[in-house]
Amino acid sequence: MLELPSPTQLAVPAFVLLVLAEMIYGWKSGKARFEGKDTMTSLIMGLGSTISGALTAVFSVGFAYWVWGNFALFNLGAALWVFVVAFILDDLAYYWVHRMGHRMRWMWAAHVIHHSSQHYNLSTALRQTWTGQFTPGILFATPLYILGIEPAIVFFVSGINLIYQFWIHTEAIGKMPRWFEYLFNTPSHHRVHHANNPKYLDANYAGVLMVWDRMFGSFIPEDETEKCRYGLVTDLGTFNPLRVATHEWVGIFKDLWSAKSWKDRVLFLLAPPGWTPDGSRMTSDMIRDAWRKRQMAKSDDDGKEAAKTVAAE
Amino acid sequence: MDIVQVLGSLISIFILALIASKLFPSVSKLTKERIERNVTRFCPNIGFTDSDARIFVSDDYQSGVLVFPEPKDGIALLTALGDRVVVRHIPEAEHVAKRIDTDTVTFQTGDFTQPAVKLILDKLAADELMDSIMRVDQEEGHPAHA
Repeated sequence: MLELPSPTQLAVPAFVLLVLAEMIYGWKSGKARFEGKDTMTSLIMGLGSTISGALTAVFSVGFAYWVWGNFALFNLGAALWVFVVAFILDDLAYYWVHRMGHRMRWMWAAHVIHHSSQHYNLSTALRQTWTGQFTPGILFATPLYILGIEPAIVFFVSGINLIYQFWIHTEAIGKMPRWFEYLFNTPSHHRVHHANNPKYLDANYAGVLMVWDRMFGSFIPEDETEKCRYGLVTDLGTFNPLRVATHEWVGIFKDLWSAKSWKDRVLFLLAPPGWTPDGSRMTSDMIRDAWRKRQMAKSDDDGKEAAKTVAAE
Repeated sequence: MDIVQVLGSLISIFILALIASKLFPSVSKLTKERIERNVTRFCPNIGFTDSDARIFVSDDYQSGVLVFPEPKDGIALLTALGDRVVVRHIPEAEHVAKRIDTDTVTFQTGDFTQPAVKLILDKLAADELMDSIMRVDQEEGHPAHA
């Protein structure tokens, strides 16, 4: 088994210092905003995520090595090019696991934690799930193991990927140079991802390389006329970390318990968040469609008003 | 991850949260304008104007209720969470509202993500709020629970 360091654990002191730096910069410039209890919850969620990951590592690492040991097509070794290929393929896998994390309620139950703050700052980057191991997310990296990339390399590049994503959780940085915005995930692109404005829902899933969103049709640029508003479509009314960590699981169990058929039970797990058999709640697609209709009605009204004005003149 | 790392992390977390609360003190208050703005955002398909909706703000400015003009639309319940606002749309408010005291009305939504909300009002306003909710109840023909 290849021995590689854990990049995220090594980066923790830098994370703490950078959160502090952003806080002081935001206090002086007004370009970043924090709230004490929100920051506390985000950081507690980060610590809890690390602990839960450590407690279940034996299963996730064991599963990865079992797949690699039994089903690998090639032995790619540990040359530099393997790390580069692993990084790109892991970033592609991240795109899909992240996209499914928004489009499948079972996976959303774990990922929703990361979106539960109404603030957007570096502490939000650390607001991570405690329950990701209990979702199908673990399966998305298996093609890399089957291809013959040793799991230790995948874990290492995945850690680098997560470190990259830390700095993009900020309002303190506007836009990067155009070429950079085109190729890479940036604070601007990720602000859109965290926004709950109907226009911005379910967009910009990339980890590092923005090409995946451009390729798979999920890219939405930040619009200067539509300021991002952060959080969930229905925000949490609590800072309690236990409720933050488990609320969507509780919602799923309630729905499974009261479901009238097995088909509904399956769809409560696999359909997008907000799906119900009777359409009584709204999915992000429904919210966006309703918003588009309101926008069209508004522009129709504006057009009629303009026509009346022209006719009167 | 060992116990020293966990304790060190906890100390760092408390220090950072304390600095955040000192640098960004939460002085947020719910006002009628803020309630209207947030309800318009949260319930975009329910039309109302500030003159036909009734708005109640708790004396501590930490919670509020907007009663929609159409009884079928029910109420919007708002709470200040830190410096932000959380909204819940409750079509059948009579199921969740309860008069606790002459000047206190609570809303127990049974929502895992929204603890009970308490509105402290003067007696007249508390009467008016409960009347508004009962009006919704009577016009809709729901069984009264409050």
